[in-house]
Amino acid sequence: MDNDVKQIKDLIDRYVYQVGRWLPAAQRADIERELRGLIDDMLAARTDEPAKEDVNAVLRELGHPAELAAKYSGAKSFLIGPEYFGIYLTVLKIVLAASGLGMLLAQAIGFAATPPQNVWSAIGLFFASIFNALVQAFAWVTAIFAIIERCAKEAPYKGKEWNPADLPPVPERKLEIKRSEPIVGIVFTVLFLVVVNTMPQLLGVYVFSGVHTVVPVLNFDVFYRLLPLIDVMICLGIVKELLRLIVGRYTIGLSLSLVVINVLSMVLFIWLFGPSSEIWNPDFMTRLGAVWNLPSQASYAWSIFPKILVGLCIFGNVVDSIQLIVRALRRAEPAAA
Amino acid sequence: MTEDMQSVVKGMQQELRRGAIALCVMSQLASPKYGYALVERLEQSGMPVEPGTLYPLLRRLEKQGLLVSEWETAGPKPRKYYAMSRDGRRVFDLLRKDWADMQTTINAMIQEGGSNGQ
Repeated sequence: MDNDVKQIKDLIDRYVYQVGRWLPAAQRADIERELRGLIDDMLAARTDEPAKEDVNAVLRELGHPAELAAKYSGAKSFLIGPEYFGIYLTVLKIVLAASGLGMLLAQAIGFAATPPQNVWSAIGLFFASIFNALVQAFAWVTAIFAIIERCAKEAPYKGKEWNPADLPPVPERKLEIKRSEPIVGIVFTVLFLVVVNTMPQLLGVYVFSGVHTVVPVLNFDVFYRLLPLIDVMICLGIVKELLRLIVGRYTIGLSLSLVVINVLSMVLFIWLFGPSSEIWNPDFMTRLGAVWNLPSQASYAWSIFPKILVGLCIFGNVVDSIQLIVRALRRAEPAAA
Repeated sequence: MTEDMQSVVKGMQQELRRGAIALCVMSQLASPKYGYALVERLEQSGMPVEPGTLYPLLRRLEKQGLLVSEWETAGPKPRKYYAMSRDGRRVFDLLRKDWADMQTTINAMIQEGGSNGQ
């Protein structure tokens, strides 16, 4: 009999513990206390001297602890809700495809550039890095959307009164952003991100003169120090394409955001790769000159190369920004008319 | 009736009951009661609600400000007593009227619908 009492107590303890386990700490103790009282009352309603079978029946009636806990917590029991799930899936597919493909290509290029010594470890590495890229992509996209889900609680539909006039116009063909453009942009940017982070030694000039060598363009000591900032710059590019994909048409808000991102990434680029940066390999021309017959102006060309790059970057960004502003103004016209 | 149809019917019955349960619970809480007493009361009145549904519901209504609660530790077992708050009484009166109106409307509609069908 004593044994039975102990078993009953144990079973109830286990049940209550499982229910309370994942509940918010602030409510847990109170809910557990009330639940114990409930089980007591339910047992008392059945019999004066409850046996193990009675406890079993009562707990079965209360249902699986996880189910009961879910009813108690009542809070958002999902990571990404129905409002964002569609766009989440779309973005996830694109990013998964891009990073998988990017990693695959990068690995293939890497093997072609420096043939692996051990085939089996190379194959293992090949799959491991693709798997790793996919897991990372999945984790980041999911984390970002989970944050959006929780931060954007009030927007876009909840809380405010909805007005049909707020419906965005069906975009004119000129102002519409074809889905394929940002997708292609994302794929290539992710590809670039993968190459820069996993095999920057591929960024160089390939020399085949007897021995197969790559003369690196970069000074790796400085490069690895600056890598986080380079990643930020590349990610800004991905954010740009994602914004284009999500908004789907050129609006004043989108154009302004893109121009801001342009300016930010331009500043980063100039700082990282401009004339005063030490990221470039100072021995680049000397090493190339050892293999090839270079004209005397070659080293001068290399010294002004960063300036040319900066010039191109500014030019590209200014043209892009002007286009964006023109599109934004064109968008504003019909409203003003 | 096929099994599929039975589960459809069950789902619809649950939908119908869901909103009404809160109203029934509130109706019993003009004076303080603890959870299990309420379970028994609702069952006697022909509106059985599983404790696993009722207890979380009581907490939700309390969080919404419709109920207030207090632990009663003087008796042999400590129990949490719930009762309608002032806001709760007001809301209950409103909902009671809504229910009566809805009942009239729906009764008229479904009787009409039934005769049309014949």
